[in-house]
Amino acid sequence: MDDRIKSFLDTLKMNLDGLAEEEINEALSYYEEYFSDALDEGASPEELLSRLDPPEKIAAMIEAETSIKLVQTSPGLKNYSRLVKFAHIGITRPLSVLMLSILIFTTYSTAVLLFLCTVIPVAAACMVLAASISEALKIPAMYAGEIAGTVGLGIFVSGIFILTACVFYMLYRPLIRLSAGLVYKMMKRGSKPADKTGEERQAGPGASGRKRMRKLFRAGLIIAAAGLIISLASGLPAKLFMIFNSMKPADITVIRKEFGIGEADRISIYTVHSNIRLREGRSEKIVIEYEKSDWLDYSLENRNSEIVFEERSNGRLPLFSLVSLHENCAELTVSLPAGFDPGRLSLESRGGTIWVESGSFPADIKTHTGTIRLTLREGASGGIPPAVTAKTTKGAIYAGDKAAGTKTGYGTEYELPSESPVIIRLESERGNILLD
Amino acid sequence: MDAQMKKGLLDACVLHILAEGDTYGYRLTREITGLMAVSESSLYPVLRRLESQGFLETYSTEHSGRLRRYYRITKAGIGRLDEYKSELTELKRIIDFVTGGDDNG
Repeated sequence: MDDRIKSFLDTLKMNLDGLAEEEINEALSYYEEYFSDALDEGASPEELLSRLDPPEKIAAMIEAETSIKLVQTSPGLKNYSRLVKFAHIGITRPLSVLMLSILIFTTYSTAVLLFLCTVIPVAAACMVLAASISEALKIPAMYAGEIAGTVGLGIFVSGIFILTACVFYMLYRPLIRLSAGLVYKMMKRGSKPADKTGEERQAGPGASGRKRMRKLFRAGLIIAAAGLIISLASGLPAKLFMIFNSMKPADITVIRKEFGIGEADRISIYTVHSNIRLREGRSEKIVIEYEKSDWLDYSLENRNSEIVFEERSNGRLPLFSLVSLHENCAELTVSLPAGFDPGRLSLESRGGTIWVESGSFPADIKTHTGTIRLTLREGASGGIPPAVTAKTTKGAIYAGDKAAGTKTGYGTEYELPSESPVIIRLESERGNILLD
Repeated sequence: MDAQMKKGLLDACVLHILAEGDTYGYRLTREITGLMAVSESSLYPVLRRLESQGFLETYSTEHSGRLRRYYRITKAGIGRLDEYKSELTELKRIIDFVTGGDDNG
């Protein structure tokens, strides 16, 4: 055989590197046969070679043809990259090259984005599930309902994340397929990657992938639904919903305790997130009335003439440190008799609102995220309003309806001076302070 | 002729030639290039694709001391060719209409 033909076949073989051996042999034997037949029929090698494209381009076309098949049966970035590599060899017109580059860039960046949108929800699902299990483990075993509810809620949320991931993944495959089809079209400039019947044939493996995805999607849906049903049955979501919508809890036990004025001269109240109301009562006694919610526990005692009330979680609610940043609309009311002068009156709530309805008692009021409201219309016996100092680190102070206070390095501070010996100190880290 | 249209017609031509009788690569290429101006090397990918789509199959016979690969149209290929024919018949009506209009004008 002629040397030029030999070198043509060698170059072709070299450029087909990376294809399956069967594919390479197929192409080589086609062209060998082609040359033999042509020479037999009297064609000259020069004429033959001039009629054919350069072997590099032929190889690129064959490789692209194989790649497009691969991309369509299993659309992924790896197979796509392969197609694109050969498309570059096949496409030479500057405008087409530019358009191809834009198409490829868009496809890659969208694919990466979709990939992230698939991976991140999966990671989030794992994290949510792990967190819900670890929260559930902290709940005392007697509250089986809440344990199931917490895990159920975790399963539901992670199920939703998995479904989100599925949706993005389902978009990912058609994107690659579509873009590959466009690249192929640019190479062929017109002829379709595969006509109808061809697509049906090629739908085989692709369809099974899609079916698997659909199965996975359905499984995710069932798992999410099961999680939702379990958690709804436990009543946990309803409870959380009511807390976060500032609704009064459904299950409340009222506890009432009275102390004589002589019994104590100091009062210290702490709630995690139940609201506190301070007012002047009509009775001659110190009355503490507490609406106990079923996820909270408390202690109330007289320690060396100091009345101490403390509220804490009984472990029933998951993520309590987060939940308790929001007020619980059950109330603890402290009613003091007129004229009572506590040596120290401290009211503190982490997330609950504290209402001070009486200006007769010097008090220290503190919250973390809870709101403090000072409404002195009621029960102010004495005439002269009390002196008020208010400060908040991250919250705001309103007097009437207007923002008040001066900004300092610490936060916002406000002072309402008075001749009255009664001083009420209000302090909140993140909550607002409202003065009427 | 427009390159796009030409490449679209290539499949139909290959199937039509094979419907007339089995043939081999070089002969097929000569017949097609005699009919329309396409690159001779564009035929191999077309044949491979038509084969993978099941429209044609191959077999080898001995010819002057070496093997020669023949292409044969399949039933599916004949079906596809019929589809092409009905599409082209419609195209032909349009062509007649357009060129006929030119004659009258």
